[in-house]
Amino acid sequence: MAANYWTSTQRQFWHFTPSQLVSIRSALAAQHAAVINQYPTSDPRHILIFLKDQLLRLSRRQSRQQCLATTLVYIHRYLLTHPLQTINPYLLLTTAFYLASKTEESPHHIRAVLGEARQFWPEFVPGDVSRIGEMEFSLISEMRSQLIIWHPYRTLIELKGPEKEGGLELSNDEVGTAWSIINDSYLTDLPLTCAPHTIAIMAIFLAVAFQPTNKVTAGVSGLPTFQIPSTPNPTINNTSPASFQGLGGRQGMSAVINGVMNSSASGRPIVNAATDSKMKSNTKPVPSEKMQRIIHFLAESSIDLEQIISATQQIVSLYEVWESYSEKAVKESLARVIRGRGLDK
Amino acid sequence: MSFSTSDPPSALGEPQSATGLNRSAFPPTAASSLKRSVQTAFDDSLDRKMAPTTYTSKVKVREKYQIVGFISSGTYGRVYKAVGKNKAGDATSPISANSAAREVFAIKKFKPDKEGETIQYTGLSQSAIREISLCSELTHPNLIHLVEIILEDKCIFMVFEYCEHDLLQIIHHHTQPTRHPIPAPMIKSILFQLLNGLLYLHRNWVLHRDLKPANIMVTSNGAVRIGDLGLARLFYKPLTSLFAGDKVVVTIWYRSPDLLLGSKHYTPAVDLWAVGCIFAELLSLRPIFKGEEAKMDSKKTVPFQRNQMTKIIEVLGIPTKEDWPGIVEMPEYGQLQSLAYSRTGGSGYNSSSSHNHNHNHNIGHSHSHGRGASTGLDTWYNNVLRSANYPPSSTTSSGTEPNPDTPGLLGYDLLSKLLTYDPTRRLAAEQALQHPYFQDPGSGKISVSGNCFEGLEESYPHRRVSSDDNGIGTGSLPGTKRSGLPDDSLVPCGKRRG
Repeated sequence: MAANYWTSTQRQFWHFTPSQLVSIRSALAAQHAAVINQYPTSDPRHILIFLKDQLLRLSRRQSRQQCLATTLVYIHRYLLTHPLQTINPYLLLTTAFYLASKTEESPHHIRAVLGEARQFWPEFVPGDVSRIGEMEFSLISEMRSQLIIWHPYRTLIELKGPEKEGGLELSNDEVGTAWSIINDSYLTDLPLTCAPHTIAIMAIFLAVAFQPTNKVTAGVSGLPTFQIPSTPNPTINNTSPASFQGLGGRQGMSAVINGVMNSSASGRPIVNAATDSKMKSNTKPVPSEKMQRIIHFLAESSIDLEQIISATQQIVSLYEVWESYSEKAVKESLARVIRGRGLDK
Repeated sequence: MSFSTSDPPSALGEPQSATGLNRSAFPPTAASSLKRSVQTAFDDSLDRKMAPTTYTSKVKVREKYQIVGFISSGTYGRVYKAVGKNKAGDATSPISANSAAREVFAIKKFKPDKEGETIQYTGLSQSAIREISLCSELTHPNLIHLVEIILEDKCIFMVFEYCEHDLLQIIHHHTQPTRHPIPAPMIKSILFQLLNGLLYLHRNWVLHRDLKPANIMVTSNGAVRIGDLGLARLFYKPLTSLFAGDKVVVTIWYRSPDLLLGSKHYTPAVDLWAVGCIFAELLSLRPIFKGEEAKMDSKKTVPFQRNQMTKIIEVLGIPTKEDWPGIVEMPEYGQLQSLAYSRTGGSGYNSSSSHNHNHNHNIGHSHSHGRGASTGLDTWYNNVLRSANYPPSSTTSSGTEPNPDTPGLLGYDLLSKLLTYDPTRRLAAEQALQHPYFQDPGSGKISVSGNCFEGLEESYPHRRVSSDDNGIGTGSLPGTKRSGLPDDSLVPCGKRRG
């Protein structure tokens, strides 16, 4: 378990292929068709962006970011069996945070969490701790008591090097950017479909590709230079929720990533570069030294490159969707459901 | 939110639901004649009329299990003995797969807080969350086996395999009616299995933090199972220092010197100290360091456990900088110095033991006398072997065939390396398992039975299961919390009332 992701309950019971996810969700939607049709909600990623922002408010004074990441995974899991239209998302959020703070060993008192929640959403969160306690039962039960979550941060820290053999010698900026991309991954399905180390490697790859000095010498030149603002000095222990920032929500993010991704003649630059590296061919473009190291690492490791590509695409797609995000619209759609169905009672 | 449908998608053959069970399909068992009180206590919250709730469990604990008695209690709640109601042939049952071995269960019921008369959801304790989450991930032959967890009617029921014995009970048995030692091969098997389970925990970044005889279970087949993960936690890059999370860990008699001296960032070595204490207790049938706990004051500051530290010093001597270079960094180093001063200054510390006269060297002294051939632990060990009538350890020093009937010199060597002051020098679980004590002297291979009762004529009494839940308080002595023995069940039921 804690030493071995492959035997963890996360891998055994909470890891899905994208097509499995589709069938789970369509079965759930069919089962709750009436209410879902009555109360249409935004893109699921918009909901998660919204919930993440609310979570940052809730945890302002009392949180560590691994706790926030665990909270979001709990929400992902719960939504697999409960459509948004059947729950009070504010209560779910509050409870998931309360539970995650305990599993991540930085517990908060239930009254403190309730107090914070009531301060932000007095109209939606019942003023009784027993409602959080009850929701906690439901949450634990749906997750079948499997509460320990593996996160990509650990892999990022292990791989950044250079102190360790095989470290990738990432700069602070690169680590910060990768960290931000990992934070964003919690807003996609990646926590349910990807092993944590795959997400970490995807984030590292993108982060290195982003840094202007590392850009592939040919192809990217056409892109505007875009300095990615990254998480400053990220650590798991960082208590500032501001460090749970991602890259999403900034103008032109998806264009930048797409630019990086498609910068070579082929549409599959990573795979090709990795393959090329294996075959030691001398095709263009010529990546920077650091990029070469990463490509070499990808080629040498047994990591599924297709998975890395697909993870990257999910991130790109998130950033695209993010551009049409409206907090107001999500908030209102949720309020309609909660009021209409009496879920705040 | 009435969600009786839609099993979590990944069921993958996971034991899930027995909701189809019909209670009436099962004839009443002998257990149904059980005094009402145990069942009533178990049902405490179940039968209560409650406000309408939105959470309902998919699995009903009473539909699957029949409570047959009460085992023990603690601050967390109570432990009951139960039998499965499922028929052996029921393929949908999670317990049928191995029905012969798993028909009896121990159900740990976490008690909910009461506010007045009604039971409320008040949020699960950190301890319950730890036990739930860790037990769900961990599987090892030397770890208590979790069958399932049921969350029902504001209570958590953790269903475990039933273990007939525990080390506290076994040790106690060897003091009745007169003291007779636990056979040396049995101690060796217990210790090996205990270390093996501990190695698994540590490899998985789990600290147990409450190892003591009462928490070490033994099945009727002689398999050792580490139990009670209520204080256990992950220590991989902790978010907060371990100390900040729990000010006090490990029952006082089994608490390591590094903890006693206020270490903030302690390590798996704290568990190995406890293993050393348990090893000593298996040999002597008494806790080796039986100190008195200083209670936390009203300001919730953690007191220096002077008495416990003294008990350790009485056997091991005062730790020196040479023994333990990091000792000067310990928060309570000053307290230790004053303790050392009072002992060497002849200020009349009233020692109850007489065999420790050679341990009056002060902190900062280099190794003075008494550190060579015979340390205090050496003396302690030889005394124990002599009074227990184990063959004297010197017979094993010939280099020929060691006598399996004695823990011998190798046992002493292992013990002294577990009860080492410096946590960085204390043996790790993996090293301890490779100690020659466990090896066949001829082949050098590990030679320990996986059944600690192997070859034994002695049979151990079954766990006392009370049918009367009344009058068993939640108070407990160190080391006795988990088991009904000896402080609870030796007293006739009813006498303890009030």
